[in-house]
Amino acid sequence: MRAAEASGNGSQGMILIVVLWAVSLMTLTVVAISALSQKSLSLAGAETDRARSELALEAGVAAAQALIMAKKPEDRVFFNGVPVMIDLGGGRLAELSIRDASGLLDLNRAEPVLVELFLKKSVEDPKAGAILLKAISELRPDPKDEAQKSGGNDAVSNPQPLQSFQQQPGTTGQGTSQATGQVQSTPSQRNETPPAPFIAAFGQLYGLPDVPDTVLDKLLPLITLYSSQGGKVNPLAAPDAVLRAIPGFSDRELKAFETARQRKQWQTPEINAILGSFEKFMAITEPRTFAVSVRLVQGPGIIAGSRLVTSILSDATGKEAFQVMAWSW
Amino acid sequence: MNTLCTNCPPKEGGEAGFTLLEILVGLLVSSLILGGLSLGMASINRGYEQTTGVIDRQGTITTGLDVFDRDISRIERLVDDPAHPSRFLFAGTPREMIFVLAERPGSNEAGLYWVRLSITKKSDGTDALTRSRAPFTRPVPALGSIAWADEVLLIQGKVNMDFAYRAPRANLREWAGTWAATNMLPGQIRIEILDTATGRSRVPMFTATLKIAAEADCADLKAPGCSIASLGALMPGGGSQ
Repeated sequence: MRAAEASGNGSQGMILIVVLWAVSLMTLTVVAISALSQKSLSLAGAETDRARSELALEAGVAAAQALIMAKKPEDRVFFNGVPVMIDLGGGRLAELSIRDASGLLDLNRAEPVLVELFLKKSVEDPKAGAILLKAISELRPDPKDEAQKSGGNDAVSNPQPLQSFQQQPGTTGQGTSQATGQVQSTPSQRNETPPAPFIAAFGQLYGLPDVPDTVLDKLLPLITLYSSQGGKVNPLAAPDAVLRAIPGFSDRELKAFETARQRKQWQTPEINAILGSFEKFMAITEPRTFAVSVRLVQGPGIIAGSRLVTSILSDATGKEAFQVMAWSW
Repeated sequence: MNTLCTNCPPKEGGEAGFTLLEILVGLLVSSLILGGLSLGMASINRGYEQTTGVIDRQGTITTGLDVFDRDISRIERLVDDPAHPSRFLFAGTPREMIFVLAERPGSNEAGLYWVRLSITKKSDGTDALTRSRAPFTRPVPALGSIAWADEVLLIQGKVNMDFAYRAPRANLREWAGTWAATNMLPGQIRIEILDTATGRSRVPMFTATLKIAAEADCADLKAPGCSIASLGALMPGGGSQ
């Protein structure tokens, strides 16, 4: 007896449903596995991109070192942080910025009056500026106090705040004092350990009450802890905001340095005269420390916008041409 | 008997559907296929779970090692007393490491922090690597009195771990379980992760390098606080920071 005769067209429908169900099940399974595989691949890809980006950033620092070495020592004073595009290979582009760290305001070594004026002009909130100034003054040792101390005194355990940033220039900046010999003025003091800078990382300035992080974020491109001119600013590498904080500095001097930068020529009577007028605050010497910033722009397999900021030290005497002083992803 | 089916549709080629036997065979075959498929899927699922489990565990270790590497690369060269330094602010044993670094702004509350990476043994004999921190303060406290907080579990699982240290730049090339040269920082720090059951390495030995190799004083290479000339070692009478 034929099934068609017994059950009619209903059997054909049931078989169809069973087949469709099986096909659907298999399709769903394949889709699920595919989705999970895609997710795993995506995660692995993101991790690979991150690792590739980090290596690309490190390659950017190596490129910066090569660019510095390629310049004559006397021309390195012109590294003023202007970004340049470099190709890291494989079509990966990065924006590279190199600045003589002496072009920035050295919180450890700059003249206190310069630090004070800089903060007044750069920090909009006077209360935040005052707190920041006080914190910096407490973190920096006072060379006068240090010089008067006996060798056994603990300058770190009991840091002596500067009495005021308004005192006469040239007596409190550590590097300047070392350069001019003011700290080592007597034989007994000459054998003492010179005061060491206390601000080891900008992180020490974060977290101060009533000083928003945004204030420090805004200052970071203008300040350093690692200048090689004893706190004196290299005007050829300095941002305008730093130069304008120098007491008595006017548009005339600013324009003169802009011209010197454009012509890559600074040893002129005019520039020398300006340097002589502001010798307490600025100087031009062969740079040894550089602030380097690398930002990935575009390219295959990298995370655009990734950034690395570092301070490097040129060390012609050592086994390695450069040493890292600060490193921040 | 065709005569009984007076209203049946006309047949085409003598077939109008499946026989009962065909349906039964069809059902049997489809059941076998579905059963096999089900078993196959269960097997695939088990394999997938095992694979994802291994990947997850490896991923956890990778993430932990990434944090480890980033921490080590940013260790600050801070000393106990910048004016009269006797040691760097670093302590390292096979199970614990304490150092200072600057946390970055953004997802973190920026600032200088004491950071402790600590390997603790759990009751089942496995190890866990945790990271904790505390705000950096002067004067330098006794390491035992630091109030650690913000504990984060970096690596855990059926693993045993330990740290080792060396300073190739200062010709200390052998790995040491405890860092005894307190007047210098290690140049490299290794973490070894062994499978508890097999005793084999779960990942290749991971070595992190300290990126920061010069103190702020080294802006003047001849400054007493700069340790570059002494291969990273603090010299008597030299201030450093």
